Amino acid sequence: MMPVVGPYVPRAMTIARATRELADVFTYSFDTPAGFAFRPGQFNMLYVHGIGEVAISISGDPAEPQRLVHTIRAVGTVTRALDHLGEGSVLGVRGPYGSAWPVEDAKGRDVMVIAGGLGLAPLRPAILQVLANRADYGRVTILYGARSPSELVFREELQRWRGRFDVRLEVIVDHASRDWFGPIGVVTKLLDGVPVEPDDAVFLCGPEIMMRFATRELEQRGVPRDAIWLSLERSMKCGVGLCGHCQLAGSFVCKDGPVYRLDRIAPYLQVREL
Amino acid sequence: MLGEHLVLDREGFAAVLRALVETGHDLVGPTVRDGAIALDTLHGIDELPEGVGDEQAPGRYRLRQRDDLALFGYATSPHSWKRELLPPRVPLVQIRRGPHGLAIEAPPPPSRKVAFIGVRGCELAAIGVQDQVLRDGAYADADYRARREQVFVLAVHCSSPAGTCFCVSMGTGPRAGSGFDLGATEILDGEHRFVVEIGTPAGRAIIERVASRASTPADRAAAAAVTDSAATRMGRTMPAAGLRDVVMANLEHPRWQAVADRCLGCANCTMACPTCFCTSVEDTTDLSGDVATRARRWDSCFTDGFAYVHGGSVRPSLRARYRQWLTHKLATWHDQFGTSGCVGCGRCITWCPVGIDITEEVAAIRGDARTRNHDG
Amino acid sequence: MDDLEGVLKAHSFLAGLAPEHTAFLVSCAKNVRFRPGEFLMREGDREDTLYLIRQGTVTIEMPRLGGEPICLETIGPGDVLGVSLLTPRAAHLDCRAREAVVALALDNACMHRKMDEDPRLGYTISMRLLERTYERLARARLQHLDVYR
Repeated sequence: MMPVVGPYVPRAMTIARATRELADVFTYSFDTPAGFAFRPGQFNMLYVHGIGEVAISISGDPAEPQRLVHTIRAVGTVTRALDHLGEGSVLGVRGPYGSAWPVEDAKGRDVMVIAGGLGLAPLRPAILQVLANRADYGRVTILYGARSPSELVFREELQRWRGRFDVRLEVIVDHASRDWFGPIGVVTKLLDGVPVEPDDAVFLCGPEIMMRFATRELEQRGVPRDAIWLSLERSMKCGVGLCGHCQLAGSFVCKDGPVYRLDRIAPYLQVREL
Repeated sequence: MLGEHLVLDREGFAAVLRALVETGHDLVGPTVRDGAIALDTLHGIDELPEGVGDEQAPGRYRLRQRDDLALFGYATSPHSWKRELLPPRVPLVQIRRGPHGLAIEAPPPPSRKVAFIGVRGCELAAIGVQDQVLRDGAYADADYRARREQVFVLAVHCSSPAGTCFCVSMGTGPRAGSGFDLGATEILDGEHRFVVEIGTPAGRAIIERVASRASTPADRAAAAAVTDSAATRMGRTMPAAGLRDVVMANLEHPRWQAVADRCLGCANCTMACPTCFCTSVEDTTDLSGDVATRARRWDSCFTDGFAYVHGGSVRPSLRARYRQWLTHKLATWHDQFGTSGCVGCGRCITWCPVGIDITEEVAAIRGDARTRNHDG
Repeated sequence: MDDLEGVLKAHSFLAGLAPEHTAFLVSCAKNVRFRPGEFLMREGDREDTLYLIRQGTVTIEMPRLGGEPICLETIGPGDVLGVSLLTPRAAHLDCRAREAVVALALDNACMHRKMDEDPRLGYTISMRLLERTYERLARARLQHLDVYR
């Protein structure tokens, strides 16, 4: 690993593989032969030459540190610039930063993963780590909601998960035409059809509205706040707790988050514009 | 000997400044410029604001002529030492795009020895607060750390607090706490002299180069009298006990809207504040587009774009942004760093164009809370 | 059907209902089946049946001129269809069995008679319908927000 001088200095990395997931979502993977170790839920700051940096969750397999993977939606200046790059392009990378899904601590429990839209990307490393150590967990349930069937990401992987006998995967979409034979509705609708126990460890990621809604429905079903983890998003410039942008009350989302246990952050999420 | 008090006369003080220069220090300290006290490069004692005093009030700052020759007869400057340690713009990294990819280069860390002349108690405390944020956390800002290592602190214990000072409430003055190399009290009673305490071996090394005399009990009593008197002339108070909890319990207090109705969102307070540390990273390229520079520059939580996600600000209203600043400064700073973010220097009050006074805002919120507790 | 009462009790909408109330409702209920593609309800029809879905998926759709119907939502086992039991109104959407559907059909007129006769039963059924309606409304609003955009 190249030594890094000062926390603001990125390392150059070359895009080894580029995959288009959706019209505006793409995955880049980098070869990191020396091993880029990270914990599920962590993010990197990705730098595009002359444009700027953006915080993107790592979406790869933590058991394969020789390959670094990011799944990105082109939605702002830097991510749109990222979209114009391709195999062979060089980016700057700083990280990994942030807190992680408590995959180790959840051992011995039933695990429920609820993903909304591109929220599946930061959850993917956690899912892979759980499945790689399947015997250490009880029931494993994955609930995934997307806008429409054509907007499902990681389709092949979803099919592989679906094909296992030891995982329950349910997928639901907000909109569909007659050629979709799965359920239609909000992702929380899937909670009606699966066992939901107070002892479950729930990992939740998606748009903030969806996460708020999902936590309400989980609480109605008796899941306590200290059993729910979610991943928050805030504006980040430095990613290391020095610039102040990502603060949510007394918390730096880049250091204390982005993954939070709900009971620790709920009071702040409830105050408008905090 | 550390902790020893020596006495310098005016010429001795000048000699200390010369000794600092001779040992390779750049001097930065107070000087009159543009009708205010600025912190700027000094070349010697003659550039200090001799006989100058100040008047500070909410939204008001004036220099005045004192009837003595005090060198430090004023309170805080609109500048703070933040300008030296966390400069408004610092290049962080240069990235050169070539045929083989990106060549990434960090500039060499600054290696300039600087002596801060006339650091006040509140300012020294503020430096300590920023040390915690920028140097002592899990990630250190390399530029801040490098600059900080090269600083010699010649502190001055305050004699002349201004109308917006409340260092006594925040426990940061008028005597400067530990962390100075030399700490001086200016005495104008009788002979114009300085009682100087040796704080560190570096401080001793400097003062040993100049002629001084040992201090007598009378000298030390005179020095104590200066700061004791200053402590009784604070412009303001802000009781700090339990402040964090009171603020956090009142996040929806109507006072936030009332102050927001006055606030211009000009960010003066954050720029003048010696503990505000928020920065942003700015990207620029040369004309060819091949050489990009990333630079760290001051930012403020008052700006609309400060907390931006998915095409919208997290704090669209000025009310939310004012609340963010003050609750961070007085409350959540405790959760993050175990201390208050405020040192009671009063700059935010003096330099607010509409004269918003945080001590008054806090009193209003506290006062209501006290009333509510009585009723409920 | 032999144990209609047992089947009624087993459906989540009626779970925990006092046994005498379940018994009271049996005469309003019958087990029904729909083949794939068959409609449980069509837009404009008088809603006169409360369906408790037991098996299969029902799509809730808005028909339109010159195009495929727009699917708004799917419901399945445990769900309730025809929550307008309490006020007479015409269905505003099509409800179609996507695959084979088995349901309990409760006749609204019969239900009203029973609920008038036993106000406690009426109260309980009304509260449960309200709860289901509220949940449907909340979810529909969230769906409307298109949060994944």
